[in-house]
Amino acid sequence: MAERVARLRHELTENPFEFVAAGLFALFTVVAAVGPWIAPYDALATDAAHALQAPSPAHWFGLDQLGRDVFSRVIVATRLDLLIAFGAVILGGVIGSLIGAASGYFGGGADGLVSRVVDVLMAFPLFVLAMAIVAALGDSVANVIVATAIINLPFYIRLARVEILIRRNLGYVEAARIGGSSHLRILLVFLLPNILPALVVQASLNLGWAVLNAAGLSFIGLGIRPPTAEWGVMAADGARFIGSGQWWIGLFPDLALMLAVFCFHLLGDVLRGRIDARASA
Amino acid sequence: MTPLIEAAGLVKTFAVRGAARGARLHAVDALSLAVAPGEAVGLTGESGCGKSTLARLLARLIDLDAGALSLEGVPIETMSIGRFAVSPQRRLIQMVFQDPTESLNPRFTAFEAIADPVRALLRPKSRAEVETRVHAVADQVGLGRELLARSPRQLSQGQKARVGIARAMVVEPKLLILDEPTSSLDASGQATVLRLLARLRREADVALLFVSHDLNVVRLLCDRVMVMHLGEIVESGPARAVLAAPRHPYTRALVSAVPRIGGGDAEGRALDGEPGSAIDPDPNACRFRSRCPNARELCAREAPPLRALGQGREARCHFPLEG
Amino acid sequence: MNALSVSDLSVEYRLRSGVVRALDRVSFEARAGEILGVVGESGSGKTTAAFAVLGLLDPAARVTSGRADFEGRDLLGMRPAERDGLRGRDLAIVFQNPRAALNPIRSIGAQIGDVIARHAPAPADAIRAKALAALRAVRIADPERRMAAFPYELSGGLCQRAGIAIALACAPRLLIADEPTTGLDATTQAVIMDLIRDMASERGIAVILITHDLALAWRYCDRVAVMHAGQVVETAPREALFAHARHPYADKLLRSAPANADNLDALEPIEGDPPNLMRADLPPCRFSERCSRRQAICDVGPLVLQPVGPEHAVACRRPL
Repeated sequence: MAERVARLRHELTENPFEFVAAGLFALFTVVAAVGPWIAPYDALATDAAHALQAPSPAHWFGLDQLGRDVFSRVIVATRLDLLIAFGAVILGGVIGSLIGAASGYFGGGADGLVSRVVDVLMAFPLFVLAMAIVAALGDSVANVIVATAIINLPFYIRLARVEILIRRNLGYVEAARIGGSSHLRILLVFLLPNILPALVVQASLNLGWAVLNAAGLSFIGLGIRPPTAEWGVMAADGARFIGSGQWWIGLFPDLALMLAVFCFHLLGDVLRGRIDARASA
Repeated sequence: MTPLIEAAGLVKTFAVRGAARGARLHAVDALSLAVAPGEAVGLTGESGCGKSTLARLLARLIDLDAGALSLEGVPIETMSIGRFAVSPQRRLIQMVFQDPTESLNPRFTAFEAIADPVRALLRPKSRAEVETRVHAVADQVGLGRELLARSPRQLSQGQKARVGIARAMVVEPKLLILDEPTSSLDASGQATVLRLLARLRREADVALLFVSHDLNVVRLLCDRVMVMHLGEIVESGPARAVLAAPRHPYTRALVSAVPRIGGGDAEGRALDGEPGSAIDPDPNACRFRSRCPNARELCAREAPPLRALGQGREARCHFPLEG
Repeated sequence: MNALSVSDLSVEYRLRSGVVRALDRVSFEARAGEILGVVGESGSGKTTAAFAVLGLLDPAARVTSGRADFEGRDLLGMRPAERDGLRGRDLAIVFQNPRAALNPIRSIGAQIGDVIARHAPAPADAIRAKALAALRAVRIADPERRMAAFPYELSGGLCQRAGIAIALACAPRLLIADEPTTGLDATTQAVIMDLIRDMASERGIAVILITHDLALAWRYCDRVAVMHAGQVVETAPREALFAHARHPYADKLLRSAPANADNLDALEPIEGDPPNLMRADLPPCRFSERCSRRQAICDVGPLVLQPVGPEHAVACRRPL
């Protein structure tokens, strides 16, 4: 027992960032999971009589322009924003990785075509592309997820492709071929598990960007619309009232957003450090 | 007796980037050979001579551009690589790769690495059968059972080399192709692997095709040796005879370049100059002439064919050396 | 006077997980015009010994005893700046992987010029002329053209020749060649080693050849030091060693080398593995635990090299 404590303390002092990242991530996950239940007030309940009230012991983050409790809204929005971020990253990541892996493995004309399509996609300012997709498909959570996934595709396609190219002619892949594995089996059993660490790192770095993307879209009025509690929507609300001095309406959702992005980036860095260390071990 | 594997006129070329358009690297050029069942044949030559490419052509890991290849009398060059991989003949030719570390999937334990071809090629009826086979071959190669649960990171070079051999042998192939299997090992590791291969050959009656630039190893293990240079076989014959008294100037240069303990310093017949290029070689000249100490005018006009010299010896030279 | 005299050199690496006793009282000498082979399996400490002499060890390494004297001057006690000045000029090294040792984005002519400029500054055209001469000395064909070549354009053999040219550019008196022909073909190996040998005798350079290839040591070395697990177990003139090794490990090493065997049955692998150098309880003779001749006296330390013949010394209580 004492040894475990000593080791834990050693880890804590050696790798403080890992603990911060893990702690923040745990915090966000918990809040996302149980948000609606731990929020002190209903996120959508309005109270016009008390609108624009500054933070107070009863309302830690104050009330917004419709008398809604900002604290509760920030908490409830956590679930939605994280859902969008994870959904987009998983959707884009899985599809992009599969396309990239197949492209890198089989090569040839199809690979060339995929690479050119990716080049075209990356030539667009990606946020603008996301705007266009949501504008075309309509405002909904699902469409925001799809749009974010689409603009993330190129990163996964390229990464998976390169990681496959590096390994395609290694001894163990040749051994698998000579051991009777079909191309599909080689991809699924021998290659994908080995490129997974790199993809996971990419995904965790992507999460922060995906959150920002979703919030950005709703900030400019696309995708998620009020009165839904979502950080971007709330930031848009808050922007209107900065000038007149009601700073709490925008500040807290902005802080939450910033903290989430920071947390995911830190997590990505930590994962990358761990994976690189293991790879060179 | 039907040869185990027979190749006729094998050709493999690669496109060359950066060189003139349409230029091709002739890795293997109209090459023919045969390996008898149970025979140990050495394939040697400098890097870039095409021996690794040839090994992979014979193992049906890469496609050939032209030529015929038959296994136990049955042609196999017409099937695509993907189809051959799932055909019943796949298990008859197996390969051991050069770098023991690179040839093992980092995500598999030693057991899983050896069991994988069993599951893919032998249609085992139960997990017990897989386990029995893996254990049997692990014992055969001297790999302790406790090592089977380890991942490659936890194994030494020598142990990883043995896993590679076990993986190839577990499906009971008739031909084992080995691509420089000892070059990443130090002296003691090499000794272990060589003795193991000799024993496997006796016990399992498997033919060996040993690709190696280390002539000492070829001398110890192989019945016959084929010397390659720029995509062609330039000499072949019984291993000891060829290495003791080479008939082709290139073979002689190779032999004198390899130090033997207790041997004298073979009168500096080191090959100077860079090796010739395998890119679009002149079909009407000997490819070795730029470095050959005996090159004469005929060598630049006519490419020598592979001629029989008696006693199972062949050499591709207009003026073969005296035996 | 010996060009290089190493005596009782011990080196430790301090890691988080423990202390690695990499070298234990290692002693050997290199003489001008001669090639000394340092032979052993991977992990025996051969490269550590060479790097310790040149001051190229990892920061985690610590020299805990011994001396390394170059022409009478104490290399280990020298100030780092002074030793840096010697390195590249009087002390030179050729590394194992020629490509890894060359700067990939600089032409080989420029790299040779850099070394010359650092130790013997001169106007640019004088340096260029010297670099050209260095390339000629290593018998690179068409040196004027090759001066401008980058490492990626050259074969492994040519890269290694360039590495040798850099090493010899400032006329060193000690050259350490660390496995210089690993990964090169036998024919290229022969050319490179012939070159090193010719340079050594022509210019009176003391050469230390580090290798695990016994046949290479046989062909090119005048004397050989055999290392095992960080200890020198035997030093001898090559004929004496290869004819009759006196240390049980050296003997086993010779019997396990394919180049030394007439047939497979004569090939005897060495049983077991070298001891883990992080152990606190390493015996005085680090081979004793695997040795068939071990007796109680073998556990009495410390173990030193004892002469058993002219220029022939063995670190063994019961030599063969």
